[in-house]
Amino acid sequence: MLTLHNCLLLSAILFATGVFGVIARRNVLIVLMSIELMLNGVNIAFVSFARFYPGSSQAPAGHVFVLLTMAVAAAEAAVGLAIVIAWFRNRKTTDTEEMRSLRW
Amino acid sequence: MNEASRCLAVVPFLCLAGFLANGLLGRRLGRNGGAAVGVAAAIASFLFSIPVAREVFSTGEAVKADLFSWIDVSDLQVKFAFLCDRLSVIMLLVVTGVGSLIHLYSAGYMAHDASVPRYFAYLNLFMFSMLLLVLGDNLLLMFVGWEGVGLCSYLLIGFWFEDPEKAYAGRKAFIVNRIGDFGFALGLFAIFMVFHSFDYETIRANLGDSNIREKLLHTFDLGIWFVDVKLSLVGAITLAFFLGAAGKSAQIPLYVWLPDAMAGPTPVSALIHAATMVTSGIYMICRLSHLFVMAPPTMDIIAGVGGATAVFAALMALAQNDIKKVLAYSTVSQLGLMFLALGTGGFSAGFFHVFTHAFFKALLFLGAGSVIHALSGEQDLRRMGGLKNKLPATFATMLIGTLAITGIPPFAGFFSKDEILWKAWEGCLTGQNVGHGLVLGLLGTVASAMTAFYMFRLLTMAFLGAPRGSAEAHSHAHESPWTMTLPLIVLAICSVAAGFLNVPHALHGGAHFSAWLQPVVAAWPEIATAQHVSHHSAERGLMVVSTLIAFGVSGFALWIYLKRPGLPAEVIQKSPGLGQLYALVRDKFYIDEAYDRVVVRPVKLTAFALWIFVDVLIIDMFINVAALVAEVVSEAARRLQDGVVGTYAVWFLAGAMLLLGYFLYILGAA
Amino acid sequence: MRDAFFVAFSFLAIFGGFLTVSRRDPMYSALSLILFFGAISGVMMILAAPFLALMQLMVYAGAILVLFIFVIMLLALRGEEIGGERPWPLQLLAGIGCAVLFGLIAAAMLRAPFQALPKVGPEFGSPEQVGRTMFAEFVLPFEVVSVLILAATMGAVVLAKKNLGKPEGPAVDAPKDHGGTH
Repeated sequence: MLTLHNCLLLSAILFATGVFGVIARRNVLIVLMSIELMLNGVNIAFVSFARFYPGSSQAPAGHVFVLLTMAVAAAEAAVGLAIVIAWFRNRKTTDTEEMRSLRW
Repeated sequence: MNEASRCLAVVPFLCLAGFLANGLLGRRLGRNGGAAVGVAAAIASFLFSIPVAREVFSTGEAVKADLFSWIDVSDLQVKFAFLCDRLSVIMLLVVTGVGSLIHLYSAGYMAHDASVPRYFAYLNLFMFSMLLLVLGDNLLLMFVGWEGVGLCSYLLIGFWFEDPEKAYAGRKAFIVNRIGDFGFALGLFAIFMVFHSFDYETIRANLGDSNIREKLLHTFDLGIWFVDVKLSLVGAITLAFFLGAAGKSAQIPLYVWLPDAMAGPTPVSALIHAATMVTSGIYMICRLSHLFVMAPPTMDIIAGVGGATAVFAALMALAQNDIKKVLAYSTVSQLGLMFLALGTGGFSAGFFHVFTHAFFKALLFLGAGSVIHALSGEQDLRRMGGLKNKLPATFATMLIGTLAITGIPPFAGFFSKDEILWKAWEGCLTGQNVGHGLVLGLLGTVASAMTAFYMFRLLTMAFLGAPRGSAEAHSHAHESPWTMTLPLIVLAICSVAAGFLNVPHALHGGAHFSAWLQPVVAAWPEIATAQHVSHHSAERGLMVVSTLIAFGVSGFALWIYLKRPGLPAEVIQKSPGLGQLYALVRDKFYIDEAYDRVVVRPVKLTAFALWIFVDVLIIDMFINVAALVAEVVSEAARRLQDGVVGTYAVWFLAGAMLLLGYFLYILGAA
Repeated sequence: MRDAFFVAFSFLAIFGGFLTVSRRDPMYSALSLILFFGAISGVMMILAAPFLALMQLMVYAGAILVLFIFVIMLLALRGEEIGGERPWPLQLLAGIGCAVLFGLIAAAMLRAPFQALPKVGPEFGSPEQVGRTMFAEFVLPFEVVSVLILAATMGAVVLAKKNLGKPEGPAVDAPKDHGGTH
């Protein structure tokens, strides 16, 4: 059933799944992918609201935000993966537990 | 500004300049340079006050010097201005004149001291403060000077602060004066509340205003239980000011600091604790005399306290063996007489005694200093004696001083003391207020009789008879240098001559001094002055009686301490009761000890309890607990920051969840 | 019809997401992510966002995912380089935490009132309309994002190029204070 609540529930489930990936996994690549999951969950919410509240002008503001989010996600992925590469080159690991050089 | 007021504006600042020079450049000036600067500053201020005095004496009008606006806040307008009127011109001359002599004397007396520049810095600062006190044209400026002289008194009593006892004496003087200053400050607040001004002229002008009069005479019922006490506002104000005066001028119950103040160098005792500072209480009451006469109960209290102090202190002076202590108690006693005069409305009589007392008491102190100097620091009368030939100039001047304070005509003390005694007896002898006058008159007469005794005891024990100290000390005794004897001689001349300024009408004199002050002090009580003329014979009779008493007691003292020096000891031995009485008097009635028990220890105990319970237990506890909490929390929070990204993510999540939960909670509540 | 597609794509997306976070090997996760992105694209299509659906495929599946797979293959991770896994009680705890989070988010989102599906025109969500909206109303965010991307590009280049720590030595030992477990 295509209802607002169902769309939002889908969005929440995807977001929570992403969060689980971030906190439960130790591989930095999977953590980054989980972040993409979370961003997509949010995108779904944007699109749903745009669909269910089009407004009188029917200008899809939510879609614009999704586009912006995509740009941010791309930037984040690029920088994140660059860090992963740099890190791996020096430490030969992708385990977040090993990334504690800044520890007190 | 004419020439006189320009000079007036300069006078105090000369002393300030001396203080700054000695205080800042003392090390460079050295011993002789410091002394020279200090003495020069004092003498210059005296020279500059001469044109001022000439102007005041020739016109009878006040000389004013407006310097700048000092405080200008809404309706509080205070000028920094000097006023030299008929009253303050006398103080001006006494302070700068006697002050200059004592500066000169100090140059000789302190010549061997290690820190001469510091001494002269303090002394000049004292002169500056004292001049502010007497020349200020408003009560606030007077208060500044009042506090300034208190500070200098503290600094100079504790001048030899390496000795803890002397440092303690300085602190004692400061703290006891503090109590009096509290009264002064209260009086100031009340004055501002009523008059919205501190100017003497404004205050005096507004006293005629019916609204303000009504306000001042408004009576408060302070009765507790069955004790019926009524106090008018002006009564409260004047009592507060009197408390201030009692502190500064060493009256019961705040006299205890003055005898201890003798720990300072002797010239300091002469200048500050005999001639000038201690009389500022009397000056202040004369200044506000128009206010004081509106509160007859206060006047009675002043007279009573003054009379009681005069007798009490004289009694203690009888049994002191330290030459300076005798003079200190004598000063307290003489100040008591002055207050007795003020309390009976004899403002000019009291102030005249201030004037003459400044000369002969400074003379006596400086003479005592000369003796101490000659005997290399010996102060005990029991180890003196036979110094007449060794110190002829000192002896001659001391004799004049003693005769003056004893009230032997025609020396200065006779005229001033006679005036006071007449004011005290007046109520009794004129039949207006017999009981009142009898009590006060007896107090005054007894005090002056004892004055004669202890002064001749001092003179005899120090200069006459056989030497009692070590032969070596006696043979070393020498007359002091000219810087010390010259002030003695000048003061001796003044002690002889000053009295003739105020020869009473009863002796067909002009009473110039009283007439001079009449426009600036209040006349009280009105009836008595109106009938003054008819009582000349009674006044003459009183003079004869008091002179006879003075001669008799002096002769008695001379006889005892010359012919029968063992007599007092014998009497004490024969009668244990008298012995106990003597011990009581010698030990100053244990007043210091009583104050220690009743005031000092409870205060210390309270302070200690406050320290332990409030400071350590409560305030420190708050602080320590706060620090402990910070430490514990940060120790725990430090663990959160373990450097593992996952942990941060978890905490981030936890925070986000909390926030979300909180928003949901308030949304749900709304 | 539309409902059925929605449900199907939704479950596909959830399933893809679950696979992504649960695979041990990052490569499998990345492949699962393709499924996820595709499903999301489908959901967007149903929600009348054809342009976004297309962008989803192009940007996420086409660019970001390829970048991921590129990196994974570049690193050529061997067993111990992938890193360990958290013990299962911790994972369970994380799962419970995420369930609570889901509950909270859902509780917040379900406060939105019921809304009947409004009619929208065929133009809704088209590239033209999105473009008009973006360049009419959201020029500033657009420009800001362009700066962000520029910064990210430069940052990525610098980071990936520069050696962190010691410039040489293929296998640097972990510092002594590392408390990590292998």
